[in-house]
Amino acid sequence: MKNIDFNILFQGISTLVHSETTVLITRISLILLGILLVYLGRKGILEALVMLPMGLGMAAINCGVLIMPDGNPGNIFVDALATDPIVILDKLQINFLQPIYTFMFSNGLIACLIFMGIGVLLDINFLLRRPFTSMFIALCAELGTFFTLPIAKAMGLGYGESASVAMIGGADGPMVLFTSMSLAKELFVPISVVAYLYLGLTYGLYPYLVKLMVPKKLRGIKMESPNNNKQFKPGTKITFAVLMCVILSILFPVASPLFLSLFVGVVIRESGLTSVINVIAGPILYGSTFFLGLMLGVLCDASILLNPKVLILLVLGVVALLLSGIGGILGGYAMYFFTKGKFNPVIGIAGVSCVPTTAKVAQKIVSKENPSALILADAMGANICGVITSALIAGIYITIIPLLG
Amino acid sequence: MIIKVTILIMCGTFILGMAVAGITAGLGAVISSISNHHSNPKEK
Repeated sequence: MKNIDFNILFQGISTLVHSETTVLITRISLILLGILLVYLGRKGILEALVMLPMGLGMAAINCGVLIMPDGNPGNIFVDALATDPIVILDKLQINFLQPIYTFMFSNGLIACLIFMGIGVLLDINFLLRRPFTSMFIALCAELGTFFTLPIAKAMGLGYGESASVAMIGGADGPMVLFTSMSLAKELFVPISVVAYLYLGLTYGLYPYLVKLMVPKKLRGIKMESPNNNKQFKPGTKITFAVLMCVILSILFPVASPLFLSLFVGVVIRESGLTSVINVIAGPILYGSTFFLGLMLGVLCDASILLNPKVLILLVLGVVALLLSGIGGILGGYAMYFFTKGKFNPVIGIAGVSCVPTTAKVAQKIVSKENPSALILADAMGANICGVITSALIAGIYITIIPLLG
Repeated sequence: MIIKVTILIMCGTFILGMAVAGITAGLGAVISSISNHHSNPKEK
């Protein structure tokens, strides 16, 4: 019994106690943050499907630090920094989440699978009814995605990092992940975590922004859209999806996996292949989202998040989402003036993508002021266009930003 | 430099976005007119 070394026996505690003060504080903070995320996810304040695995993963990775054979502290969850093929092969046999990271995360597959699920859920009928209005609103709601780029650059981030954090303004988690994996691999964990944290919070805060910017009498405007009951045939929708996929893939080959994933989802939906639709919209979408949350959680170890740029990312995330929300509402106002008061400016907020949450937020605000005002169809059109514009900007950023050096 | 790039990207996205909307509207109109034409043989 005398020879038992308690530092070896309780490695989680000994690595915590013997770590530097900053690492110690960060690890304890992340354990507490992880537990808080589980609580907020359970309460429904943040999205449970992402926050429960992310929070628990974050707490576990910062508790489960042990002494590795080389004498340095490490974990047996995942090694995101391994690049050498032999090291990766070695890690695949040790780290239990390494296969998911190597084969699904680092190549963007998980983001594409989620995008495929989103494609299956999209009814582009809403977009086909009023394409110009929906697209205009969606483009205005990308204000944060555009303007955060120079702001981030001015705050000292590189071009790739600035573009990746600016993508938070598109309010589309998988898109942020895909862009940051392509342009800022060393910061993709904090950028994606910030994106998912803020996306959950912002949907609770957007109603306040709408109430602040749109007066009560305008919030209750009833929309009179002659096309609201028009149903396009599946053939039209499939033709649209095929054309868009081909055109956008030719223009931006680097982002073509994203376009293919989105539009193949739309084509499958419109083809009526029920068994495939059920698999993509069920196990694939939910399974991918769950593992995305878990992986982001276990990637939040103290050493990765000790980067001083994380604080800048926290500020820029809010700026991006706030600017996009403001841009969307301003777009709504522009349409209100173009149509001489027949357009409800609240729909502008639905231009910020993430189907269908912001559209539902818009309808909820409008219903509160005027229960007979139905704007969901127009809001969904802007919402779907938001997904397309976000993918478009991701394609432009991934193509152009590396050229800037 | 970055301001110029941002403005260019903004304009490019706007043009592309509106082109997407144009294709959508055009496609909807063309396919609707074809299906109307087929469902109303007198017009032939």
